[in-house]
Amino acid sequence: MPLTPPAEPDPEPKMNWASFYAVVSGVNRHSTGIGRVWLSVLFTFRVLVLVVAAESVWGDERSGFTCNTQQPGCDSVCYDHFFPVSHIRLWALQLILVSTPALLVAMHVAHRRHVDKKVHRLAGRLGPKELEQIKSQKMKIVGALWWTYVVSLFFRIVLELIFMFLFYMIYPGYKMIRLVKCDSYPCPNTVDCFVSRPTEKTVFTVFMLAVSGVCILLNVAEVLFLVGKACGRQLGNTKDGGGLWGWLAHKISY
Amino acid sequence: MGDWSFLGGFLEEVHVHSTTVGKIWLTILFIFRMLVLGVAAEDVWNDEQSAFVCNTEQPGCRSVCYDRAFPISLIRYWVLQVIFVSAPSLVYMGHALYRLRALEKVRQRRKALLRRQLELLDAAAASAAAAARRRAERQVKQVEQGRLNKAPLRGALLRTYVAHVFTRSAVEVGFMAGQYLLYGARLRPLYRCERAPCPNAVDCYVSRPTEKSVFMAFMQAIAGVSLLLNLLEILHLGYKKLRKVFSHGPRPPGGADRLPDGPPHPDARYRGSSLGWGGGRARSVRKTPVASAPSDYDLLLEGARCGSTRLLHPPLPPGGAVPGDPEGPGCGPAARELSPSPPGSCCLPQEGGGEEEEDRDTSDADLPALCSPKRCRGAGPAPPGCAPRRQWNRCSTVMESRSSDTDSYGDAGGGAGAGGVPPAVWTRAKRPSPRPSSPESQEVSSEGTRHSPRPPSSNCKTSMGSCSSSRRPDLQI
Repeated sequence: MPLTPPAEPDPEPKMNWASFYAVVSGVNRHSTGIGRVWLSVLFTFRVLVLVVAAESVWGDERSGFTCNTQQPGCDSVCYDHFFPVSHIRLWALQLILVSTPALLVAMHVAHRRHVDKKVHRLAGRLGPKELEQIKSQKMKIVGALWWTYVVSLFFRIVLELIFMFLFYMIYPGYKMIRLVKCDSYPCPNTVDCFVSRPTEKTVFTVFMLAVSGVCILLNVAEVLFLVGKACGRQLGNTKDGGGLWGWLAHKISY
Repeated sequence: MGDWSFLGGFLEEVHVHSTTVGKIWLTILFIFRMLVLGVAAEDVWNDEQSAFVCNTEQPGCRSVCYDRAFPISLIRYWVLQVIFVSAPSLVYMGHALYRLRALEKVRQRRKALLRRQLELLDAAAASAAAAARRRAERQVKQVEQGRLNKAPLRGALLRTYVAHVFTRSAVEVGFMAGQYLLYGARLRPLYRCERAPCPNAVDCYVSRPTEKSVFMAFMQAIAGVSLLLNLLEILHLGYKKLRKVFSHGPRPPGGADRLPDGPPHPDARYRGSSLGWGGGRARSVRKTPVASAPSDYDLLLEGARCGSTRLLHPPLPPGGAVPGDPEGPGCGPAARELSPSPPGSCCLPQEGGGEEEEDRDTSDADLPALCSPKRCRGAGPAPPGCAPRRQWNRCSTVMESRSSDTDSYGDAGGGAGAGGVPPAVWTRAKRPSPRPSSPESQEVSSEGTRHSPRPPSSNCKTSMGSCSSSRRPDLQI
């Protein structure tokens, strides 16, 4: 899926989501159909929304956080107390960590290709044509690759759940509070502090949460699909045709 | 943050020339450090100075207190860390590219030589040359296909690699220690400052201390993982070397550092795969590509000579090593004379193949000197494999006979250099596996075997590569 990154406020090329996409999307070729859908959802509804919309909503979270006091340092301390880690950073870390298990699959595929090359060389039928064929050949998700793939899916699901739990712990109810009462030192007494754009932040928080849930569902579906395919293969091996599973797996297969 | 693409481009190149663990390390560097720095961490430190407030109206106090609290901003510190940690990789990559270029030059020259050989064989139009022609064609094709994308991790390059991993680890440890010494484990929200012109001890407040502490811990953890990977890589390389040493039996001290290999597979040297993650594995099974480069030249010359010999004379009997025959046996040790041998060894050193190749380009004039027995005698305690000094004596006779041969073929090597020796056309003598009756392989096998159970063809590749003790005592040249 060709994703053109949105216009960055900083025109200089840097280590950004576009380059990360280039790294992760290479795995796409060896994913199932559901895996490709997951990657598209991830980059369209999460990364893109994060970069284009959410970052400007949270942009002035610190400067727009004002406390009803002149006491220097009070608003800094209160902000730090109520927002230990900003949503934006959590989402960025979540997206990076959730995409990384796909690289396990990429490593495994490259290793398999290398082994194939070796086998071809030993069999003496390695010309440039066959090399290219090996390089461009799509790997079937069977055997050890299947396990790697399923393990990577498992990691994805676990990481997503961990981050959702973290969000819940830090911001209970997933709602952005508009007023916080703070009495940490050096605030002289309990002061009211006001959060900037609470409603907009709530909207985006709920949106990102929903897409996160969709991604978890996609991952679970992919796991079930792979397990089903494996079962279908087993059944197909034991008896002819493989029955419904085999047909279903064949139809939905990549 | 600025332009990472420059460094990123270099590191992509390094990726090709790394082992498997090295590639994982690079990926972690890219994703968990550079990406996180660029995408997440930078925004946290954006308002570091503007949001640093002090409980005073005294002009200048805030600035001096900020300066004391944050001698170097962590973002800049991490940028420096990434750059310094990547720097040894660039040095290694430079060496790898240099070695690769040298090997490519060898390959091109061999291709040219083989082509000329092919033309010669075509011109000769002898019936016996049909098989030789086919062989030569096959060799040309194999050389064409054998383009390396990655320099093999042997010899000096391996040493550079290990040194670069150690340097990287040291730099990493240094930066981790530096971060701990500067900022400790976490940032506190309150910083008490007593520097002039602040009137007295003032309270200054750091913005977002918890978020910053989270990122500090994250980056330290990633640095720790990086360090662990470096350690793993060193262990991996050490284990590979130990495995090679032990799987091929104990070696004498002279040959112990030669990284001996098993019987090389005919295709092994062309395993120049730039395939992503498997590159390290490729290297581990590649058999003496660099080591055999010296031998390749020699064997090629042998082939040129011996091939011409075959055309001029009837094929030698299979038992071929007739002592005293200048042509046949000379095919064997001829190889050795052509490379400068280090003191202490009269045979080709295995490591430093790339450097030797360069040396060979200029060493034509030195070849007679190399052949002199003095060189071997003066070389100190030679490894047992180099014992037969008479082989060096043979060298000189062979040299003369060989130069006459090549001259008779009108400069088979494309220009007799000084002394009538074909120029240092370093190519890969890739011989097909079954050549039981070729005299030169017999010679080579008889003298140059590194390991006893070896198919004759592979001897041609690796025979000159070491003065191993597996040189049979019954070598009679």
